[in-house]
Amino acid sequence: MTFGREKRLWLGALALLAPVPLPFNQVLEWPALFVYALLVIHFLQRAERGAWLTLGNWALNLLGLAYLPVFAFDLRAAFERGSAVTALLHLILFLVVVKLYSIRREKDKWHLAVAIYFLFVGAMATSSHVSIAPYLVAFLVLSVLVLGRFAHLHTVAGFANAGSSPAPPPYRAPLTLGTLLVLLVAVPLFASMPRIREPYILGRGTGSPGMARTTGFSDSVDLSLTSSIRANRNVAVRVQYDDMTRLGNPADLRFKGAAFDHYRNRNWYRTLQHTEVLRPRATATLSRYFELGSGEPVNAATLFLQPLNSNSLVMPMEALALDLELQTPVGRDPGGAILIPERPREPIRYRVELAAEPVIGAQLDDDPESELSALDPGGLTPRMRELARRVMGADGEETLSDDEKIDRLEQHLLTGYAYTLDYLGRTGESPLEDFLFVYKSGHCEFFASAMVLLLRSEGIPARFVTGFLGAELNPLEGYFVLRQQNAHAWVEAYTESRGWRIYDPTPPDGRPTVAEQSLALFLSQVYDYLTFRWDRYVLTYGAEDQESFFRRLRERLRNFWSRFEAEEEPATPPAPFAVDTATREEIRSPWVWQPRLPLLVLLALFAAAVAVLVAWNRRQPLSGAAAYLRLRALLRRSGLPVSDSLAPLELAERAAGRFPAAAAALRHVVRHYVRESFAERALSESERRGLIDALRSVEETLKEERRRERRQLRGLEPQRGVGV
Amino acid sequence: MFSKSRGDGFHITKVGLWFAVFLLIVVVAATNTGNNGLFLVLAVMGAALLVSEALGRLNVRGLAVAPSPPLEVFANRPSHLNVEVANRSRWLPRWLLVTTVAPRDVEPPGLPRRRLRPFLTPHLPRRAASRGQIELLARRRGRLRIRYLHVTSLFPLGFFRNGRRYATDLELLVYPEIFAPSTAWPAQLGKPGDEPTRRAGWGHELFSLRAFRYGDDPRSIHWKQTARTGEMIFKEHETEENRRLLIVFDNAVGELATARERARFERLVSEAATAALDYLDSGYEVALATREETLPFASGAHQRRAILETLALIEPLAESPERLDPHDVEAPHMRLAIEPERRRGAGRPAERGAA
Repeated sequence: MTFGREKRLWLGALALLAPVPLPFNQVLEWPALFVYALLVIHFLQRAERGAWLTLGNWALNLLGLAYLPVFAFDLRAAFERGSAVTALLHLILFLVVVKLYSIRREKDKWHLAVAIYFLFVGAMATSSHVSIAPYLVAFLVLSVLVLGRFAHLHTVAGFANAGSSPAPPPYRAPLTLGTLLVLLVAVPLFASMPRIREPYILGRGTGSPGMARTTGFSDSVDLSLTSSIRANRNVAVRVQYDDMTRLGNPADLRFKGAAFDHYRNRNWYRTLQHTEVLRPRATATLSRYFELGSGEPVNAATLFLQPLNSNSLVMPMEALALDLELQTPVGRDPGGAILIPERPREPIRYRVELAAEPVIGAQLDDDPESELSALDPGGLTPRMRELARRVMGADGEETLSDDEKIDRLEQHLLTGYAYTLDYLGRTGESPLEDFLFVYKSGHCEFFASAMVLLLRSEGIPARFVTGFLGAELNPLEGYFVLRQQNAHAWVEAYTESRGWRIYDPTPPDGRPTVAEQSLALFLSQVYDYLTFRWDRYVLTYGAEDQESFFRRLRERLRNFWSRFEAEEEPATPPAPFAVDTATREEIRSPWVWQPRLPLLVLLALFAAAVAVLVAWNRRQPLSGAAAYLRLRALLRRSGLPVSDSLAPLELAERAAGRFPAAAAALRHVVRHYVRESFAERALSESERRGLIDALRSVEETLKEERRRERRQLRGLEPQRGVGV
Repeated sequence: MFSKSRGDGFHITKVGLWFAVFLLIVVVAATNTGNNGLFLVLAVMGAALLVSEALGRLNVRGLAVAPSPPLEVFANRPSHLNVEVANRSRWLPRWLLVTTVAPRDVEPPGLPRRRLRPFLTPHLPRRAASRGQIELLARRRGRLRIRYLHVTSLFPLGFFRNGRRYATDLELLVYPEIFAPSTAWPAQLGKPGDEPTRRAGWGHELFSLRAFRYGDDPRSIHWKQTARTGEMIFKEHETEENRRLLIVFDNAVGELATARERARFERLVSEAATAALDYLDSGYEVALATREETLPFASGAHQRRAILETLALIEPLAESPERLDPHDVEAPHMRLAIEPERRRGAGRPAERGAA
């Protein structure tokens, strides 16, 4: 194979791999990739046959001119979409294909390599999925192979004859080692590179509006469903509690997302124009601290919110304070839900301080006409008012208190209605009346909506609240996962005696549950673990993480040095929301699988691999002298007197006389020993293999000989040469 | 024992430079956008650069480089320096080692910038050695000291040309440049050595007949005389001692101020060497007379080396009013000198003199 042919094949392979993730990242169309791949494969086939096509300058000029209008059209479409990435990627794909078919000089290959690397960078920059990691490794391995082989060819170019590629030296070990080292060094490099801006992801994120027909959290609540709803297991939020011993049943963990005030035309609406902008309290850290309520914090948690196509910041009901790294205004709607102006396009992280009981920071306005009112009767029909009066006993002799009314209505809904996700055949024109009087079944939004409106008809302030109920513990990490199927709706109602309080009229069998342990769940948790790690430590890794790391490092160093000092320094007060890892590990629930075990297993495997590598490296290749010494030992074991002064050739002749079946093999060993030791001729690899075979043959023959002699001694076989 | 070695700085190749420029572009993009995907690319590219440099440096360390000088080195003629490169490492093999002589490591500077064929070792297993040759091209005669042998490598990714200089302290004596024989002296020099010498030897002319002695060549038995006398008669030939040449090289040429004069002197030295080698190869006895030294008539490898060494080290001396005449006026001689009055003219590189 010629140098040129080999280099073309390597570059073609690289060009084929580079754009693979782009369609998955939704920045390149599948047909474009398909056409590109066909052309590259065609190039590879021709290069394999050594009959590659080289376009002339006139063809290149013509192609360039022909592509100009395409590029202009592409750019126009790109600007309409608001991103020029696709147009640029089309251009690079075009350049790569054209360059592949016009390689003439050595530098053309390097130009092509640069264009391919732009594709690779584009693929990396637009991806937010964990599967980009194996792509990165695959591309790295191929790049190392290509660069290593190119370096080899470049070096031997002045020595090789007629431009034919020399056989590559045994490169597998150094390139494998090099790739592993690159990955190992890349990790601290990635972690320590200075971040000036907040993490930003060019991709489209995972939030999409296509959740209407699946369970999940959304800013809009539309009850006019006429189809069936499927459970959606996508992860919405991950929650890591500092103190897990203070948690109750994970199925009862409740997280507030949005509060809705007004019901119009089968939809719930938020009064965002009356959102209160929260003022952060100054802190020493880069993040901002917002107080959400009063009280003593008893626990804290870190939340990792996936893009949900929503402005809401999902918060535990017990949240007292918020510590947010994202530099954006933070607001609180009249219902007490927290929101930010921009819908996050990438996972965001924030910490909260938690009280022992739910904290509902909702506003109360008695004026029914007010936009802030929790008494807005919009959506109530006479039939529903009638039902409210009937259920809550307002038409009876004895007037019930507001608390009793709420409890009676909740019980009524819990016991009199069924939970379903199947709405096929329903009209969707008056969903609440249909729910209450016709079908008597629905999902949580129907239950909560009905309860809010019925309470309001009785003059009890209430709001429709959405969020998440129940969390699934991921044992690999010790954090809780809130999936889209955990999305839930409930009611927050106000009474004089109880204040704002949560009521959940959805029957227990319809509430989100936590899945039972199974292999599928475990695999799902493993995948989720990897995704979470990727999101947490790669995609959203930023200056705050670096600052936190160095702060902890400084504290540990200070603690370390303080041991050697005579006087103890006063302990450094913990920074707000700083996680005390030691404490967390101490109080971690004992049934949570500790991540130390896999770490230890990994370390043990690594140590074993190093030990094997060391042993393998220490293994000396078989030399003629070593083979001769083994032969002497074998012959001595077989009863042949082998004195130290016995010369090799004499030994060979004596041994051949005693063991004629092994004569050829042992002469072979002696001959190679003599040649290596006295003629100073090194053994080739094939000769070495021949020596090993010869030694094996001698050993087997001698064993057979010894067995035969033992049989003779036992009288089982007549002695050779003795007549019977 | 390891050869003493020194690092050889930092040499980035064109590929490495392209890679670094590309890395800078990614640095700008990553810093500007905060995109961690780009930071990931950046980290991998940076790690590739670091690992490439580290492995490359490691690859040229821990070697033992042992040169053995060539038998003869002539100016402006490629000669081969035998080299053994041994990998002393117990752990790691070595790859793509190129062993060469760098012009800067040669004293006095005289090697051309363009290196001739270095010695390539594509793969050197651990605890193994590789033997090969480096092609040298010395430009001037005289002593040539090679202080280091340079081992370089593009391993592993070709971003850096890592090198290490292994101390050798090898001194070579570069003989004068040898021309084609026809250009060495004028054609009218003729065939020297026609005169008989009347001494026994291995020539063609009959010298005498005598009784055969043990050890004589049987092919020279005179069979007719043997038959006539009944005793073994041996035919003794005349020696061809007369096939000899005295090269008179007058190096009292004074200070050679211009490059042209120096070049002319060097040319004369080369002509003397060319003539000496040519006549020695033809079986002549050759003597060399200079102002400082006179080598008597002799032939063979020893005389060849003696003449070449003398001519390799000959230097111009102050002008002398006395003419350097051949010490053996009867011997055919070749006189090589720059006549003072003709130094700026066409010159007379060689003249023939004979008894």
